[in-house]
Amino acid sequence: MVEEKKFHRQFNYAFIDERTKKEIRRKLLKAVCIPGYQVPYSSPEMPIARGWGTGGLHITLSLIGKEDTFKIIDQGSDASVNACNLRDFVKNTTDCDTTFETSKATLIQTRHRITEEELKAHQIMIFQVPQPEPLRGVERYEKKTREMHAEADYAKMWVSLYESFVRFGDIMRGAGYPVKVNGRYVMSPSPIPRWDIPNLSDAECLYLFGAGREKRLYAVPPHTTVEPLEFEDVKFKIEQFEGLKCEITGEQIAFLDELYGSDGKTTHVVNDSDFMNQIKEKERPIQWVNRYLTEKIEKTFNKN
Amino acid sequence: MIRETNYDHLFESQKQYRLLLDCMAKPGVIANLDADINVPDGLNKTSALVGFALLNSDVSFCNTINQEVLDTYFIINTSASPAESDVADFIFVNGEKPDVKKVSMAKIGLPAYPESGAFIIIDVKQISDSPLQDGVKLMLEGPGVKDTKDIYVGGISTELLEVILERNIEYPLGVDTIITDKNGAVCCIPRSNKFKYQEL
Repeated sequence: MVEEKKFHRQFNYAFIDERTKKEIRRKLLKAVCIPGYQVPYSSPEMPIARGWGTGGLHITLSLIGKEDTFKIIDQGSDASVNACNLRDFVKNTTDCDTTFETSKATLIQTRHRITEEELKAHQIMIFQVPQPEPLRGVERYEKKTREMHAEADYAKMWVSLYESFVRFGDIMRGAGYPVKVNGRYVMSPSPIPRWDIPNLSDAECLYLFGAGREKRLYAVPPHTTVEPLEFEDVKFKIEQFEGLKCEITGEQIAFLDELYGSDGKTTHVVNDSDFMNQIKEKERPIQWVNRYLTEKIEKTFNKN
Repeated sequence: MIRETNYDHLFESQKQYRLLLDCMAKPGVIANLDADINVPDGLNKTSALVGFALLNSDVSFCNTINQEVLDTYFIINTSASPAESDVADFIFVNGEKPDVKKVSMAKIGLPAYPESGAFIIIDVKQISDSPLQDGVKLMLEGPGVKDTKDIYVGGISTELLEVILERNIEYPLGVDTIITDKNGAVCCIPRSNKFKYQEL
């Protein structure tokens, strides 16, 4: 009998069957062709519940091959529970290499952050998205939000931003700030902080977004304009972390986490665990360049 | 009819899909697809590999090149079903002698579901980064392209390019184009790209 090595396992390579992979691949191509548009897809069953990163996992498993080096972060950390379990799952079903180092990865799956280190043209960043519809807060029915996207009718969204400003004196959206992609579709960038939003625009890498529970895929290709929604007189701004620095590295220009000690004191550390490790052990990796970050750097060091 | 037993539908299609995704994300990037297959006359091997990477029984295709032989070839190897060009998800076209009427009927999607627009796969003689004699210069601009990017295509009818531009006039409705050549090269023009062309 001929030994068939390819099928030694009880599941297909990368867990998902080839037929479903092809469907996801076709939908991803369409998502890339229409930047910011949410493409419906099948969202097949996975060994984890929908809403726990299945959208990102579907994309990763449809793209990954044996030559890939995979990195996964959850809120910037390589070591959190969601990241560790999904990394083990991908590793076990694909035999690909895994890494903590951003620069070595070809596929980076992420929950709620973009890496602090700038991504290159050969890299693909895959987002796990809980709510892909930016208009859901202003319109409950999917049929209507589809029509609104089709007609580029974003009036309700603008009104909600205006109302937020009138009520609170600012646009009260921290994570998941709505953006306009390629001058056409308003898109939810998944709950990444404002700090990361400018890095979506005109990047070298490809961004793919997967919402497993909501069964939607979308994409931002490289060198695509992504603008946060803002008014002429109320501008988008990133988190400032004024006067704060990382307790471990002393870093001031990075997204910081607030930690509470047993003595009640608060300290801050760099949120991106690999970025922090690189600063601590090697040298500071090349960070993204955007005008908001440049302003922050000027403000920080002129003050100092 | 040839059944491609040497083609690995798992790993080869994954590799080729990744190259296609890269080309679609960065219009103007030229990639090379290769595999050990025996394609019937009239179709570029690269176009067949694009079909193998994307087609299955969930989708339909319309081949305007060599009707009977190629229909059977794709049915046997991908299980996709043949269809008329106004309903097909994938349309295979000869770049030099295109059936323009069929391409002009290609699906462009619906306003609420623009992704249902068709993929047009065009067989040409040659794709290159440098100028070709008797070719067409495509000037690409849009998402995925830093400023502008020029590529040169030999063996493509300008009438076909006009039809594609016409189908894409109401973005986000439109068709997405994959161009393949006889040497294994492939490049893509998504509907979001505002390209111009110039005959050389």
